[in-house]
Amino acid sequence: MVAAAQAGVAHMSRTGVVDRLGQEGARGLVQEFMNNWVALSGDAWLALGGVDDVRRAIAEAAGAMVAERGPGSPRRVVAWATEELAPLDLPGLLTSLGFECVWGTDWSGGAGGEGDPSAAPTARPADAPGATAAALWQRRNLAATSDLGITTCSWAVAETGTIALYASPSAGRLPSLLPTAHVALVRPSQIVRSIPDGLRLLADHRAQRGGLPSAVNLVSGPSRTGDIEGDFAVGVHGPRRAGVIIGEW
Amino acid sequence: MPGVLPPATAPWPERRRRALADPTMRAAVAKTTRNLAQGKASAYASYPPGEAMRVRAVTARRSALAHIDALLEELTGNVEAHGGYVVRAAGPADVGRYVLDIARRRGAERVVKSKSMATEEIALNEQLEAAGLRVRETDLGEYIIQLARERPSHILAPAAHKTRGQIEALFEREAARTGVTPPTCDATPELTAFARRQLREEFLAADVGITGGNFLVAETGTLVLITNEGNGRMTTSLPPVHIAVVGIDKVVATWADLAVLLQQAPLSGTGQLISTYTSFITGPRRPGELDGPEEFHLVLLDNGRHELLGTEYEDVLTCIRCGACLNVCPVFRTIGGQAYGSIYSGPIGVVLTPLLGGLDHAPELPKSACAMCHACRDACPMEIELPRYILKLRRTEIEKSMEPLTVRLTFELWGRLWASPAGYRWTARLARLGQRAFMRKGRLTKAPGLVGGWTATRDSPPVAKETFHEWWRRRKPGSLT
Amino acid sequence: MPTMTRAQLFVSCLVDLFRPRAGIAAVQVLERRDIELEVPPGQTCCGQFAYNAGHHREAAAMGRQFVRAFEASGANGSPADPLPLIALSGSCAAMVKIEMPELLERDALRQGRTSATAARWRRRAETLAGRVVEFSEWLDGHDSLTPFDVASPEPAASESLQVVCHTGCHMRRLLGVTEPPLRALRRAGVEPLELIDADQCCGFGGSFGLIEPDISAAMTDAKLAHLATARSEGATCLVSADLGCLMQLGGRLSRRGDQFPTLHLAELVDLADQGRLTAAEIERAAHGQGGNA
Repeated sequence: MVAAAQAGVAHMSRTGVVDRLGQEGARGLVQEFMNNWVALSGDAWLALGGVDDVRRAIAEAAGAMVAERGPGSPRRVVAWATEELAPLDLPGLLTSLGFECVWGTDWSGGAGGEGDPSAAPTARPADAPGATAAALWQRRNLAATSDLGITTCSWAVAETGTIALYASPSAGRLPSLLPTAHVALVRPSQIVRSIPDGLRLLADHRAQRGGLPSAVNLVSGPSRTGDIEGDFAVGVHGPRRAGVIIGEW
Repeated sequence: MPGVLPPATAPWPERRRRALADPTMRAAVAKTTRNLAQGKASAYASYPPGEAMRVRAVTARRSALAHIDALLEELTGNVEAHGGYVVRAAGPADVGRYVLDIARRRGAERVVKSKSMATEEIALNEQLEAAGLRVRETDLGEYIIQLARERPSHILAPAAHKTRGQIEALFEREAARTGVTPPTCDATPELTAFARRQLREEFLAADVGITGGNFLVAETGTLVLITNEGNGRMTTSLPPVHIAVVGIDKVVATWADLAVLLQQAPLSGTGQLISTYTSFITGPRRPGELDGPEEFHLVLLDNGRHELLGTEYEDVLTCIRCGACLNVCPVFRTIGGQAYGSIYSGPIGVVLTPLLGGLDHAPELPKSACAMCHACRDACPMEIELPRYILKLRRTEIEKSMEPLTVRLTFELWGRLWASPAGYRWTARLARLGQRAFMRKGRLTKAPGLVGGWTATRDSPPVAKETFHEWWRRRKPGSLT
Repeated sequence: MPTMTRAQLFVSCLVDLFRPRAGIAAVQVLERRDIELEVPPGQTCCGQFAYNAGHHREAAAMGRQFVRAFEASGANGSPADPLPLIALSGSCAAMVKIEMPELLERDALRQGRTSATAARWRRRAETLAGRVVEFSEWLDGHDSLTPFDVASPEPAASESLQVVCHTGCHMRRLLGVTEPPLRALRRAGVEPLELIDADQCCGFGGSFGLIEPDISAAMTDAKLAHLATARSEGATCLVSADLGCLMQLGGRLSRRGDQFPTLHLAELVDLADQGRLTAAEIERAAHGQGGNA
């Protein structure tokens, strides 16, 4: 895990980091966030060189975090359908890496009912029975059989190594939960110092949108347990590997 | 109304005997508690904001209790505004009835649970199983305990007393029962992987997910759930129905209050700055969302809590179930959680069990499960005066004449005699005469009455031939001997 | 040259009845430091045992006697310079300092006395509480007072002596006195050791130890296991400023057929004062063969 993080850090030259991050304070928060995330047994990559750099980091993360399934059995990836991810053309990137992508139009299992991922949620009528239930069921099963989940985040906390995931029509609860590995893209400007600082951003969101998301999940590293003889073990329920890519795109 | 707690598993002497005769459990509990206590100490030491937040968190919790009825009303309105259902439950039967109604309406058969003290308190699993539902605990430790049909030995590490070998055996039996591949060895990753496979199936097949809740935020109607394994997220994301059973004491007013509270449970419990997963759940899945439960129900459990408001015990309701008091308690370290016979163990269990379940529920706990060392008071992040509460309970039991007559008479006589120097000196002389029959090699090895408790496991020096005061009187003041 | 200081000695019932030589040692130690001691003859017991057992009526009866006894001499010092009340038990000191005022007030009300009378009991107990100083704490505050008859300032053969110091729970947590006994030992020329899990209760616990002898002994055995480690590393004796803990630990050792020396802090300081701090002298003192009594 630590090796993966070091590989990510090594990807950028030190001066490059300083130049792109600008202020000393922001750089400190990025470093602190990465250190703490890695200390929680998470993986971390730094990719501040724009879209291509972020795509390169995603490819590296996918390779490092997800084992090959063997011939004829492609690895499966599921991601949020947010507009924020659109410029990265993840389907193109991951398909070229041999992944089977299950979102966007494929997200509902090839039925094509969802249309454009960013437009679909608001266009769909509220939870009509029948077809919707079946689609939800299928979505769940696809997420459950995915090897990798890709999301962004709403903010991250440096001193605890935490990312905040808000549920929305385009940002489901499951892509960060059911796959064996989860990687979240974090912009340096999203990193705040403390949990209370992050919760203030959530309060801003509430003030602007007139309410809270139905679910907000703060995630700090991979799923862990100490329930067997106090031994530390990862991945008892949630992702076994949890990665962050700190990048600008 | 007073609450109802599940009956003790066995009489106290039996529970005590079993605990003391189980060196494996005792070693495991000692190791777990020491690690957790040290983890807590170093977490606060390495994270200075933690202490400042803790102080404010105490105020937030106490102030919430002072306004609890208004806050519960506000909470209810906000949960309902987001499409959730809220119901108040006086006790175990209310919760059981409500959950079974939902299950019946939904045609539900399978229930998954994320660890919850509130549902343990009301024996919800037993109620649901009696009605034919299949209930699966999904916290790894709780899962192990459920397969073993035991009670937790520690609230944070329910299976701390189980060895890997014992767990492997339980998993092998479960694999045979369900027709799946058993774990290949007793290594922790392999056992964890087996549980992951089994429980993943349970999550995907479940009709209802039941959780507790660490906090409730009144101003937005939000349920806060803290886990490390992710079973809380699974339980609240996969099944079509999510029911949260939460004690009314868990409500706080605002997000500003929550912000100082949120890290206290992990800091004090496991020594983490924050748990791996913290979920804020505000109502069910919204229109257009791709996942999450269709229904969200919040069951606000009273079970004796309201009755504590306004009493000298009110602060006990600020408990955040972090387990810090268990980890420092020398009695808990020695006998483990199961010996308490209550789902609440350790110092908080000594207090909460009689307060929620009635003094008759476990009358032995205040006097037998506390050495009055005050370690729990120092450990409690909410500054609950646990030793004083335990002392108060001891006093109340005495006032209610709940102790043997011989003990009461001994204390009465003793109090009368030692209230005067003459009586005190008389007892010393009497003891000197009487002790000869009980001495061996200059030590007291047996004694009658209460003191017999001492000599059961320890020797005592005899009452001195010449007491200090006798020496002092004999001596010429001011001179050295 | 300062004028002779006076103090009252709070012996505690356990020291009085079961280990008078600890009290005698304390007298020697204090008088060597030019303290004029008064031992109020009416003192019996502070009531702690009954108090922590929940028998507050009895505890209050003893508590009132305690107040009367220590007030009786009329030598309470002036409000500006109160007479110190030196306690040979950290746990009992905590009882008087922290619990007694409230106990006496509450019990007076229970007896149907007027609130003015109850408040008077509280005030009397508070005045007393303000004078209580635990023994090692007192030594700590008077480390400039050197014993006048010490045979040699640097006691021979004591440099290498290691001594395990057990600080009782109430002394540690209610009084917050943890360093003074360690410093007293260092001043005596020995190296104080603290056990692993030093802050864990020794198992005594007052009435708990009588009601639950098996759990209590199991707790003590855990402590003794850590003590065994310290002994294997060279510890020569176990010292405490609380006789309750000492009786628990020593009583359990004795039951297990183990004669490892246990000493009240006053006894060790007394030996050090006389330049007699050797393993052999410790052994003799611990088993009541010392020269003082």
